[in-house]
Formats: sequence, C-alpha cells, structure tokens
Amino acid sequence: MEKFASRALLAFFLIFLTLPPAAYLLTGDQSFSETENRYLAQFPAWSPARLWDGSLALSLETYLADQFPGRSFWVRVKAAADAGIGKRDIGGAYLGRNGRLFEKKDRPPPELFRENLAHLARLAESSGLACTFLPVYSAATLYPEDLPPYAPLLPERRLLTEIRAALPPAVLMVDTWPALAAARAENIYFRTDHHWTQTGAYYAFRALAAEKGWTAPEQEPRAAGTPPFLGALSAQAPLPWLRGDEFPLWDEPAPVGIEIYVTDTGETLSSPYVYVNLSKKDLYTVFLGGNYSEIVIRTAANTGRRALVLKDSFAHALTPFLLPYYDEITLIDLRYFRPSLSAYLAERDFSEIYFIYNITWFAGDKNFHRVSE
Amino acid sequence: MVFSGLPFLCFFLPAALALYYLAPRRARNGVLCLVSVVFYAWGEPVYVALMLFSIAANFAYGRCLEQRGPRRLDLLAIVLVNLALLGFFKYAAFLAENLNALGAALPVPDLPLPIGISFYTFQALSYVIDAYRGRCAVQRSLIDFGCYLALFPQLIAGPIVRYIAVAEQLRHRRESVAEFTAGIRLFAVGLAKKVLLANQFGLLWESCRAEPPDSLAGLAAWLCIVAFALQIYFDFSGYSDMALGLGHMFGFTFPLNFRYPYTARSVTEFWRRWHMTLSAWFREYVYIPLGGNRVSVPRHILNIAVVWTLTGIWHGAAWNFALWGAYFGLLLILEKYVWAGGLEKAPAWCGHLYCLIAVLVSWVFFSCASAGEALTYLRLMFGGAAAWSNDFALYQLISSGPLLIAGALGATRLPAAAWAALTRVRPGLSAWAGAVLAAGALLLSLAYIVNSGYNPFLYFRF
Repeated sequence: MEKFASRALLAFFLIFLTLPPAAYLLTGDQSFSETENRYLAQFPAWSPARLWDGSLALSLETYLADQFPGRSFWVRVKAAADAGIGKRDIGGAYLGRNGRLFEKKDRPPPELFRENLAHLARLAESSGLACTFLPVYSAATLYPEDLPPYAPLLPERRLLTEIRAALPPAVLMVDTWPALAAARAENIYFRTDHHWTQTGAYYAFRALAAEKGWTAPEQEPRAAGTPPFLGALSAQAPLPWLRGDEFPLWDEPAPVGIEIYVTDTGETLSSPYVYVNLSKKDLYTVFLGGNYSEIVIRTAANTGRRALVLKDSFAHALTPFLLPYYDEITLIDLRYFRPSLSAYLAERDFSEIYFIYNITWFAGDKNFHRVSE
Repeated sequence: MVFSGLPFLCFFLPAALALYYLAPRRARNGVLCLVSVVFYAWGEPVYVALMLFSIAANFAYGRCLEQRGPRRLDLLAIVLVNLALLGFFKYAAFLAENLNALGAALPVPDLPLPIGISFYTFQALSYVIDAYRGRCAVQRSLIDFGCYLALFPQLIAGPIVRYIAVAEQLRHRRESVAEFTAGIRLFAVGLAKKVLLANQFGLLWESCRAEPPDSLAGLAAWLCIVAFALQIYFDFSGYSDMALGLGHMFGFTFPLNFRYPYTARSVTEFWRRWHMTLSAWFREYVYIPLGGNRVSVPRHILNIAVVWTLTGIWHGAAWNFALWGAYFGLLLILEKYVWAGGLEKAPAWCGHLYCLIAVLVSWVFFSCASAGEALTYLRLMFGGAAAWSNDFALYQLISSGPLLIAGALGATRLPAAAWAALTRVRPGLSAWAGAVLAAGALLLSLAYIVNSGYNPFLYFRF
C-alpha cells in the first residue's frame, strides 16, 4: 500500500516535470490574454550581450510565465486559491459582496492632490472661461456596504468638499450625488469594472442639465445585446464565480452631422459609439473607441458653443449626452496629451471648459502639472 | 536560477535528472558538476569564473597538502585566498564607504555580489581546514571536488554542507526509489513553503512597509514585522527543504538546517534551531579555535562578541547586519551570565514570549537599512504610534488572518507531530494522503509561480 502510494507520487512527479516542457514545444505562443486583458511577453531577442549581462535570463522567465501552457487556467486557480485563503483583494481589486469588485488604489500623497487642485484653480482663473467640474464617484463610494470590512479607500465625498474649497467660486460644481444615490438600485456601476455604466453617466448628465438650465430629453437605455460584460477588474481578479452585467447603451444623440476626429489615429467617426467594439472583451471602448490624447467632435447643433473637456475615461460614457448642446467638443486626456495646454487654449476659441474626473483618480493623477506648463 | 521559477522546474530539473540517471554511475559526479555550473551561469554568467577559480584553488591546496604535509603557512595562504575573494566581492564597497566617511578618498567598487559566494566559500573553508587537521582525506578527483563545491541544490541558499558530511557520499552513494520519493515530498513541502507562504507574507510585509510610518498604527507595525519573520522563515527553511529534497533525488543526504526555531524558549535555543549549519560552521571554525567557553569570563564574552558580529555581517555588508549580530551576541551573553537561571525557572510561556519578542525585534534591525528607520519601527511597535489600530491595520489583519494562522501553526512542530501520529495509526492512509498532498502542493505552487511577478530572492546579500 505505502509502496504503491510512493510509486504513484513518483509517476506524478515525472509527468509534472515532463508535461510542461513538452507542451511548450507543441503549442504555439499567444499574443494577447483575454482573461487578463493584456498583451503577453514574446520570445525575447537573443544577443550575446544580453546573455552575458543576465537580462536575457530575466526576459526568458517572463516569457515562460506568460506563455505557460494553459496559462488562463492557472491564473484562475491562483485567484480562486487566494480568495479561498481569505484574501480580500486580488491583483488590485477588492473582493466585495454581491459579486462586486472594487478598484484598490495606493493612497496618493496628499500634496499631489493639493497640487492638482492648485493647477486646476490656476487654469480656471487664467483662462477667463466658464468652468464646470463634474466629479465622478467610484463604485465604492456608492456601495460601501459591499466593500470588505475596513478596506482602506479615499473618502471621496470629503475630498469633494476640499475640491470645492480650493477652486475659484466661479467654477460650477455639479452635485451628482443625489441623482446617483437615488438610483443605487439600478445598473449604474459595473460590478466587475471600475467604470460606471452609461446609465450612471445619464443620471450625472441630468444633474448637469439641471444646473445648466437645459431640458434634458427623456431617453431610455436599451441593452446592447452583448453577452454579460466582465470588466477590467475581473481580469485583475479572474474568479470563476464572477458574473457579468448587462451593458446598457443609450440612444444616439439627436443632431445629425456628427463628425468625430481622433487625432491619435487620424480616423473620423460618425457616431460616439464604436459598434464594432461590442464584440470585443472591453465593451467600455464602445464609447469613443477608448483612450486617446485628443478627440474633436463637431456637430450640427448650431449653438455657438465650443467646449474643452479635460477628462479621464469616465467622461466617455457621458460625452454623447453633451453633443446636442455644443457645436464642438474637444476631449483632452492629459495622461496622453503632450503639447502645451496654454498654447493650445490660446490658439483655439473655446467658450467653456469642463473637468470630468473620477475623484480618486484625480487625487492620484500625476499629469496635472502639464496644465501649467 | 532559483528553484521556485519556471526555467528551473520546466527545463533545468527535468534535464538534470534525465542526464544524471542516463549517465553511467562513474560519470554521474561529472554530470552533476556540469549541470551545476549551468545552473549558476543562468543570469550570472560572469561569476562562474570565480566559482571555478575557487574550486581549482581549494582543490590544489588539498593536493599540495598531500605532497608537502600540513604546513600552517599553506593553510593560512588558502584561507586568505578564500577570505580575500569573499572580502573583495562582498565587503570592499562597504569598507571603502566607511573609510571614506572617516576622511579617506578610496574608490568605491560597484560590483554586484556573486550569488552564493558566502555559502560556497564557507564550504571550501570547511574542506581545507578539516583536511589540514587530518579530519578528512584529501580529495583526489577534481570532478568530485567540483561536484561538492558547486552542487546546485545547496549552492545559492544553503545549507552550508561541511565537506566531511558528504565526503563519503561523493564516492559511494546509492540512489533509490524510496529515497527519490522522499526527496519529492521534501521538495514539494519546501516549494509550497516558499511560494504559497513566504511570498504571500512578503506581499503583506511590503504593503505594510509602503505605508508612510507616521500613519502606521501600532498593530500594523507588529503585523509588518510578524509578516517579515514568517516570510524569512518560510523562505529560508523552504529553500533548505528543497535543497534536501533535491539532494535525495540525487542520492545525497544533507544536514538539517531549521528545526522549528520560533518554538524556542531562549535566544540560545533559537540559534540551535535557526540556520543550524551556519551556527555549526562558526562554532567549529571560529568559536572553538578562539577557545570557546573554556577560557576566562571576559575572554569568553569577547569570543561570543566576535562570533556574533561576524555572523551578523555574514548576512550582508552593512551596519544593520552587524548591529543585528551584535544584538544577538549581547542577548546570548546575558542569557549565559545574567538571566540563565531565571529563564529556566520561569514557566514555558514566558520563555516563548521572551524569545519571540527578542527575535521579532532583531528582524527590525535586520530588515531596516538604517538605524533611524529601525528605531522608528520599534517606537511604533512599543506604544509610540499615533493609534493602536486603524482601518489599514484591521483590513490587513482580516485579509491575511487565515494565512497568518496557517503560518504560525506551520512554524511549530504540530503539523509534523500530527502527521507522525496519523502514520502510526493508519500508515496506508498517511502514505496516500502524503502523496496527494505533495502532488497538490506542487500543482498549486505552479499556479502561483505562473501567475506571479512577485518571487523575491532574499539571499542576494548573503
């Protein structure tokens, strides 16, 4: 009996040692992992110098890990084991109740937040334009009861009062809290992505419209008809029991003649929705096609207003609602935008500026010094 | 190359085992020697030359000893050669920096430390000194000697195997299926300790360390240092288990390196259980030659101080390691001369508590690069924090709670005792459970290795 168990272990070990190398040789390399939502390392470039200084060995180790046979299976096993041993966060995502994942960010240095505010305040004053700050809450602020106990997070509502205090009084602060809090039971934040749904963005837009005195049209969402959406957080914590959300897509805005120019790619789109991305893993890229440094949208709204929007990706789901109110909307993402912003402002004839940011991201964003350059 | 990586598990180990068992018996030491050089050269190709030189020089000393008989001067020369290599690559920069701080203007060499140099240099010294003393026969085969010094299972993180412990095995060893499977079990246990426990505690330690100290609660400071204590124990003892397991796969039996050190009741006992091959080496080749304890009390105290300062800087060329060693030396002297009787009479839990706190405090010195940082941590741990607890500390405690409990239990002899009891009562069940657990540990470790960018090697300063 004991001997048989020993032999079985020996046989297992021999398979354990020989199967992976054989599988490496027999299976081809993959370039992208859908499970993890990232590109995988490829076979490293060989050179005697790289062999000599040891950097080839390091690249090979990354390559072997990324191309390990059946990698996505092992990735799930590890995530499930982490959850099984009681870990409350995996890969930068908090494991919440009700199948929710929340983004876990390192606490940014408080002085960075204050500097960011100072840069924005300076821009608001020096531009002389009407400015609107539309803060976007994180899912954790709306669903704190689903967070793991004691999970450290930035107190967004308190930060918001600091933002209000630091910006010039002329800056319009949109209070989106009542509308979003009232709609908590609806599908306003994805459970497995850090973004809000377009329904969440719609409620924020209603709050904005009320402040601006616009009569927002009564619109209805429709399901995009995609399989349930598993977002970026589920790639960080790929637990087998996570379930996706319905992906709501709101009707396209009314004015015809929309022309969207994406500077980074040179492409021109005729709709803020990039429908081909409905078949991709990251459905959120349906909105304006994803993250670009500069997008210029022209409409036939004929309002005489031209807006500059400094934003992160939370703004993408909201932008379609803004189109009927502007002749031109320029979206700038400071994470990717390199030219001088003051020169950019001087060259163009904007009538107002929007800041649309997630509060936590804003507090940790390291790109705002460009505003003053 | 490290044991807990894919290049080792998926390519090196299968190839090394295949080559070894396909080779005729007389060629096997040669195969081991060769694969060990490849093992070392991975990521560290330049320093292979250094290791080969060390093999050649120490082997040549043996042959010289055989022809000319034991001469003090020859021994001194070869010991100095070994120490000079170690000194130059490990301590030159440290020495230069300190002399410069005193006003000298020496160039500070900027050399990466050759991995494992402290381990194989100590092994080489054990050979030349024991050969000189006539305790072992001179090794006449360069291949066998190279095999001893470069043997990959214990090359980079110990145990420090004295030559006399394996001299016989180098020539006459018998591999067997039973020994091989025992090796698999040990290797699986070691790999799981490293990957499933040590690396996870390492993550906890690093996330606590990333917090700014002024917002760290007392509880978090304790968590931080407990996590470090568990990380270094499971990492180091895991490596030793893997080394022993790999040794068995090739027919070798290496000495035990760790015996539940955190269950000790005094610091003296802790060091009889922690990195046993290192303390044995210092006892044999430094402490006893200095006269050990058969000298006057002041001389004995001096001996302890010397040995423990050396033990400290063996772990790294920096003042915090010297301080760490000196701290242990001081505690050992105190235990010998001041509170020995008190400790023995005190109830067991007092001894355990005292030893644990003493060792945890030592890890603060060990892990903090500067004295200022170490003092900050000690202050936070002993009542100087702004708060005893906060969200961060409670979150980490809950999130890592089960892991911490598993680690704390795993550091005692309870699992081994339970296993022994099961084997006594139901030997068949225990054999099968052992096989299933070993296989499971290997697979789960593999999942963590494939997945994790986090696989630190802690001994790059040793």
